[in-house]
Amino acid sequence: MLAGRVPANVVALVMKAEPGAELACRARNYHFEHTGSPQERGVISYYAGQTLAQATTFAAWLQRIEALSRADFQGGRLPRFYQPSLQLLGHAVNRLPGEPVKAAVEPR
Amino acid sequence: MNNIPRWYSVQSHQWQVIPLLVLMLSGRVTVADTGKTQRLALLVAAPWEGETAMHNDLVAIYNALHQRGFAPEEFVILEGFLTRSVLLAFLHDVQRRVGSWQRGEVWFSLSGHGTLRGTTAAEAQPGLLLTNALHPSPEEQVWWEEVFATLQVPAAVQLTLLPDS
Repeated sequence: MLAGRVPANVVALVMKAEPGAELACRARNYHFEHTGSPQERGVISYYAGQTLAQATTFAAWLQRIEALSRADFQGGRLPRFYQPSLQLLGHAVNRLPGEPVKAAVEPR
Repeated sequence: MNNIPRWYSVQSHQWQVIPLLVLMLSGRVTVADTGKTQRLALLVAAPWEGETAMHNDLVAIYNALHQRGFAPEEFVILEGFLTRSVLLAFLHDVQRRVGSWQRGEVWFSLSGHGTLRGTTAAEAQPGLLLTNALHPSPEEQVWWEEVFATLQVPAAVQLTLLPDS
């Protein structure tokens, strides 16, 4: 619903509006495992937070979110109903604020 | 440079909402003083009664941005049972802080509940619903167009928006 309604300097990660779908707010909460216990989280925030530290650009961030949520779905950790469908508004090639954390290298 | 509160906590009791503004991290050193990129992260959690997800989201995003190099004094946080007045006042405080920036980065994530007004996709106005009341009052809703109008982030400053609502 925010598509076309944000200022030009905004880059937003938002729910994708499905064509023909009724008007509704679809952000959902789910209980994700956190240090061995279920913890209630917003689905968008969960995947955004899990992938944010290492992402370089907004486009790369969205790719990481999609890959992780797809892996959770395929691994039986996330029901399809909760799988997020997201899109970027604005300049997806822009770099995310701050500096990405480099992934730890596995020792050989 | 104005000294702006960095952490606003709004608490509620069962039948009434009592805003309580708590000042934490009243840093006086700004990014402008250190020559670094001017940036600010706004984290807002707007749960309904009994909900914990929004607080957990806020903590997780804080930690992720901290990993990306955001310092504690670069965060402003609003959390609790919010009203329209409190949220807009918070955003107005932020506007006073970033309104003069020539360039920089503002992060704005919000975890809460969404709402819409209008009947078609073309005319629908998205907003935030701050109560689970069946018939929310105007004081319990904020529209995104009002959020942007209040923030007025300068055109040369990138605003990253993560709405989970």
